[in-house]
Amino acid sequence: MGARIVMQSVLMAGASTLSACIDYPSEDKRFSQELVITAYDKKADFSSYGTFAIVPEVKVVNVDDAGAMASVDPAASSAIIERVASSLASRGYARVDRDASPDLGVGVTVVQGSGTGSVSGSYWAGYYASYWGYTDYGLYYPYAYTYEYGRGTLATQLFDLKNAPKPDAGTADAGTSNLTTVWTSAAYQAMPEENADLPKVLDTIDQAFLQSPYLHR
Amino acid sequence: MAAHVHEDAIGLRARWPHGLVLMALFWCLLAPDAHAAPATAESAQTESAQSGARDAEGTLIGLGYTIGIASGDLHEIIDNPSYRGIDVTLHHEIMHSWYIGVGVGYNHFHQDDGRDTYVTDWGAVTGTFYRAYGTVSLALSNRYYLLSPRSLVRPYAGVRLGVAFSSASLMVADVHEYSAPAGFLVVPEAGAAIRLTDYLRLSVGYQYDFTTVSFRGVDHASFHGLQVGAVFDY
Repeated sequence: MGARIVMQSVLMAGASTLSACIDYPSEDKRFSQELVITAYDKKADFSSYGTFAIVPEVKVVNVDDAGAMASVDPAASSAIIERVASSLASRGYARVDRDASPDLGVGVTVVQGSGTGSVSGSYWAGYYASYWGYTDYGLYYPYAYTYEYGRGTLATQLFDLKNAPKPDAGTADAGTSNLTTVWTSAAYQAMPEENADLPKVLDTIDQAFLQSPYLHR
Repeated sequence: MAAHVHEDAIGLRARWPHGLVLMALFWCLLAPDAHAAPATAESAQTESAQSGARDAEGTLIGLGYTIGIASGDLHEIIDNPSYRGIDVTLHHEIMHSWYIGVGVGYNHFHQDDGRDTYVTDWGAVTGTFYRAYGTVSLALSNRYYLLSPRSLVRPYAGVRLGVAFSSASLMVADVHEYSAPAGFLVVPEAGAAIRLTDYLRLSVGYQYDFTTVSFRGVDHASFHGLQVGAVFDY
């Protein structure tokens, strides 16, 4: 009898052990670390692009304030822009001015605030589309993968200007046409606050290009 | 019954005429009560009753806790020991000291470190990799116990043959890769059962779970198991 009680107790303990097997860390924990996520348009022929122009400052979007945009510290902004530009140049793309009909438009954005959402959200769509002269255009992300922004995400995006429907060509419908975002990099926790660790921020840019070997002319 | 005790103790040597020195040493050290054969069945019965030890063990039920240490390819991706392992066995003696039965085991490995890049069909993710590997084994078990059931310690050796059903998963950010491969299982094992009461023994042992289970980056997922548990004599 005693042995049976002991055995039953051990069996119950065993069952409890199995049921207590931990699962993965919570989503909050997984996304509270430094992550570098890149996504690209598989239909894009990156070798077909020859030039790029880059928005000369890093914009900050606060999702807690209806997407209000501000600017990053000029020194940090300049360092980030130059690192992105030099990375693209190292892949064979030539940097040109906005007025020189670049094939690719480049925008770098920091997302601040406690809110989260999908990268396909359009807090900055109007700003960037208009910057390249595509007023009332949206942004199209041709990859199914979406992820949360917020928490100091540094988002770097390449817009396909070469194949965009031209506003003056009669092929675009205002308010319904999009610029295709052929490449996106999102570096989580890269700039959680203004006093971000700039070398680490630059490292995330390097990592984004490192894990995107297809991105070259 | 008492005569059977005598035959068992002597028979062990008789079946192994070239018995190992080690085995003899065990026998001398751990089964002193078997040295002197009772002169009569009556005296043997009296001796057995006095010692409190049982003369035979028919069916053994084992419950064990296993610590797993991955080996080979599995160790390359998960070097954390598994502290979540359980093993249940049921053995029945079919000949002197030779038992056959079944065994069911479960082990769960996981590791939450290591920063790396995971390439997907839409891009890539660099971050902390969370890996997990779990396996359930179902096997026929074959075990040979040395020394007599009356011995304080009964060393054993055996092997299990069966199948392993596994799950292997990887998560980085919210990218999740999962597979559930299955394969054959071979588990050589050795250990000792230490008598606590007439019906209960403490069991300690080592086993090597070799499987043909393979998944991305791992061929023949296998691990070492250190086990402690209890063996109940029914």
